[in-house]
Amino acid sequence: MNLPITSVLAGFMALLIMVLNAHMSARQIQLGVDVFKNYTDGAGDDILGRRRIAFMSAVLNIPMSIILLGLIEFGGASRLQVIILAVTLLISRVLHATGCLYQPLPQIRTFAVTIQYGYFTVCGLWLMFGAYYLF
Amino acid sequence: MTLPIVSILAGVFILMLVALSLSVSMRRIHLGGIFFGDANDDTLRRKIRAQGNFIE
Repeated sequence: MNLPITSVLAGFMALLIMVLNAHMSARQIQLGVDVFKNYTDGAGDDILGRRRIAFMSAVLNIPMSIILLGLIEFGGASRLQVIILAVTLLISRVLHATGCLYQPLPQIRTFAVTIQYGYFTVCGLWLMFGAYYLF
Repeated sequence: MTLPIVSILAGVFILMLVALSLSVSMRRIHLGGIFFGDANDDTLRRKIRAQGNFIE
């Protein structure tokens, strides 16, 4: 199996997750937070809350996004089509992470999430109908 | 097309996930723009758990 674009993107996303994880862990250590308590609300610390949201969103959304891209690339989509989807996903995840970490207003995150929904919808329809017609 | 059944299933599941995610977003907007946490709202909490469980 040869999925060069998906592989490159998966590598980048793995690094992004690692960076976000490091950000979150550093803040937890700095604050001396018990990671088994107040896990979802940032333990009352806004910076930690934002870092957790950035990390958790990435961990929850990126794996499925990569699987979808892999299926589309494996299914014979053109290189340009796969690159457009990959760049869309990349922009969405980078914007979401930077929006969470550095932007107090929610507009960037909202835009990033909208792109993510669009990516999922396009991939879902592509796989459903593309696979159906060629089955 | 290779892996046709997996592809169709993935497509169906991801559209279900979009529907669940939109439901969470709409509830957040309805509550006045809650972007972190569940604002102690039971409906939002249920929607978050439905989306969270699905994606996990």
